Amino acid sequence: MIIDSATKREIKDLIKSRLMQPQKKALVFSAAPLDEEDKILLMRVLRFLKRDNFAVIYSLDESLLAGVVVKIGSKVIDLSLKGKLTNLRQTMYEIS
Amino acid sequence: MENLGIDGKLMLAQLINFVLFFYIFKRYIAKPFAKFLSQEKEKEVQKQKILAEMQQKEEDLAKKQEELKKKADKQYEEALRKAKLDAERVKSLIIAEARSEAEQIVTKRAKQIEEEKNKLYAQVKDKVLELSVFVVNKALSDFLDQDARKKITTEILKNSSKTIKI
Repeated sequence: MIIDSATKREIKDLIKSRLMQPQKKALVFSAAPLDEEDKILLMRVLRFLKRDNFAVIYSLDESLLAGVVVKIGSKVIDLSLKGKLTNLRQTMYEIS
Repeated sequence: MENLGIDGKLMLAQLINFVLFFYIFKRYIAKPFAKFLSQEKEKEVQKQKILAEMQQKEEDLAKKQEELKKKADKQYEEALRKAKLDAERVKSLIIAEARSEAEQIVTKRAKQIEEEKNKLYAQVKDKVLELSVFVVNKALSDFLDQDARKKITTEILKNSSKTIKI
């Protein structure tokens, strides 16, 4: 396949620009170290991590009891047991 | 007549003297004196008349004074009666206002107490829930080992059936 120089140049520029883009970070805190199966499950639940090319950093936080908490910038996705207990407390407060 | 000691000439002279004296007395003393007396009498009558008139006027004045005093007394009593009525009315108004204010204060206070009670209840509820969650948290962190945490994490990820978008 012969690619003309203009197209070649365009492709190069595109790749450069993509590489130059700062990579988005996602911090994942878990109560226990995640194995590969858990990571796959996590990617399934948070599909945008893979699709939008996030750099995922895994950390341990035993105070979560179980589950994970994902922080992306100022946004937080709470899938932890601690978070669920907090929600339960709020729900019980509203009900009673 | 001479034997009796009566002198005719002397008698005549006495008589003339008497007549002259009478005439002079009547003309120059009695008449003016009578006139003076009648004038004095008239004056006296007039004085009496004036006195009577003044007495009458005095009586009239006293009567009028009495009437005015009665009128003033009546007006005073009327004013006093009105003032008493007004005072009663004002007193009733003040009492009614005070009652109304007192009721408002009582109602407001009851409402405040109710609000404070509810607030306190909410605070207690919050504290109890906080304590309960804390106890559960503590219990779970002591109870769950690494294996259990991992299993629960896997379960949570599996049960998050819908995908989460950012």
